[in-house]
Amino acid sequence: MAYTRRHQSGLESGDVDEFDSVTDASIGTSNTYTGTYCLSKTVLSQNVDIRQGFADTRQIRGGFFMRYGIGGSVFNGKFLFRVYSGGVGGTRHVDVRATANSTDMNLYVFGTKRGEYYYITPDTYFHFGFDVKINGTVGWAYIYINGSLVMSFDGNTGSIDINTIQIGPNSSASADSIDPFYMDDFYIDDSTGESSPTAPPIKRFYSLTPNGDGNYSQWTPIPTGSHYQKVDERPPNDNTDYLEAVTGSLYDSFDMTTFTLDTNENIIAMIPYVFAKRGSTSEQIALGTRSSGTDSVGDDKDLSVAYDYVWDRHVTGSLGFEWNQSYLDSVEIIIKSAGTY
Amino acid sequence: MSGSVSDTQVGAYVETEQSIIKNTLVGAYAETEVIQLDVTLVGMYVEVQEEEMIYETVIVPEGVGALYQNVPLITITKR
Repeated sequence: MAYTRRHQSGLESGDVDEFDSVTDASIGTSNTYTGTYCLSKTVLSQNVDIRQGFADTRQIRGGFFMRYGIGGSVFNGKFLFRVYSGGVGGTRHVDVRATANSTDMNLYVFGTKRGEYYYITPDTYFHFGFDVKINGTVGWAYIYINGSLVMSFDGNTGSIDINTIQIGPNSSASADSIDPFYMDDFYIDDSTGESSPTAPPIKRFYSLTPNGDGNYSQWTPIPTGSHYQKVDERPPNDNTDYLEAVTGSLYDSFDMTTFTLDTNENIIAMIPYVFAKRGSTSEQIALGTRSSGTDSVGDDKDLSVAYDYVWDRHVTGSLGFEWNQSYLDSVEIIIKSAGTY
Repeated sequence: MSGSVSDTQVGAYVETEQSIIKNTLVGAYAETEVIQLDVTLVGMYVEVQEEEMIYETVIVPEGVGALYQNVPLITITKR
């Protein structure tokens, strides 16, 4: 069966806008899991509220790296992970809560405790995986730590589409905690058609940045100069410098940094991303890759009126082959203006 | 008195002209400022995961050694 990517974030733009909303957490540069940036708790005494929506569905899977606790201190009842229909404030189908010790967590379905786990190592990154099916009789909610099943429920998980997840630690009903919290490398897939619960793969998201102008330079750099230097800053500097298109079908492409894959690491996808905005109502953008002189450009993407995170996932290169170190070393990213002007 | 009438007519004329000029300026502003696409950051995520070994028990012919051994069959990466 095919899994459909709904969202991913490695925070490597240096901007929390890679998520729908983030409250009381900010981009951090220490204690990252991969790369330069992660999400970290802004004020130790506050809650954290990270929200991400996705298209209505009855089945999801995904995961992220999480690190919290300082050994013996508590989140005590705070929500770590929640799944909603009707958005936050709607119906909470599944949630995972920390308990009175930072080594413990519990699984709840419709507010009833269904599982316990006691072996989190405080202040150490672990991978939190989830696989959820919404069904009135044969649903499931399975939680995996570092790829191993640790809590599960089979039965009634509801009968309405889910569309939002929320990541904590957060609870209005319990006292704030001084514990630190870090998060990195998040993804969520639509897993409709999955016939039984399966451990979601543990994925890491490394980021490449532009380091030279590529094959195409049809957009307008503002102010004038090399094109790549208008789009290489982390975090984005919005209108300080940028590239502009005032007609459709204009291409720009960029040489990218690279890195050496570790032994046993495979590239599953290349995911071009931008922070872009439209000036009117109908401008769009398409994102792609260029390898061995051949382009592969994805579908046109809608934009917001303010700079926002837009991405397109490419599981094969322009020649239809799976990605490898050689393609990684030479790939260009393409941005193409689309829509009407 | 005639001068007074004349001033009124001139005043009305000027007011109409200002209205026309104002409408023209609004139209020009819309064309140059609204229809555009801006990109301020470009990057590429490389989605990576590790290979997983799949083991399968196979029968080894008699005389070679143990009858059963766990041997790595293939390496896969779940997608």
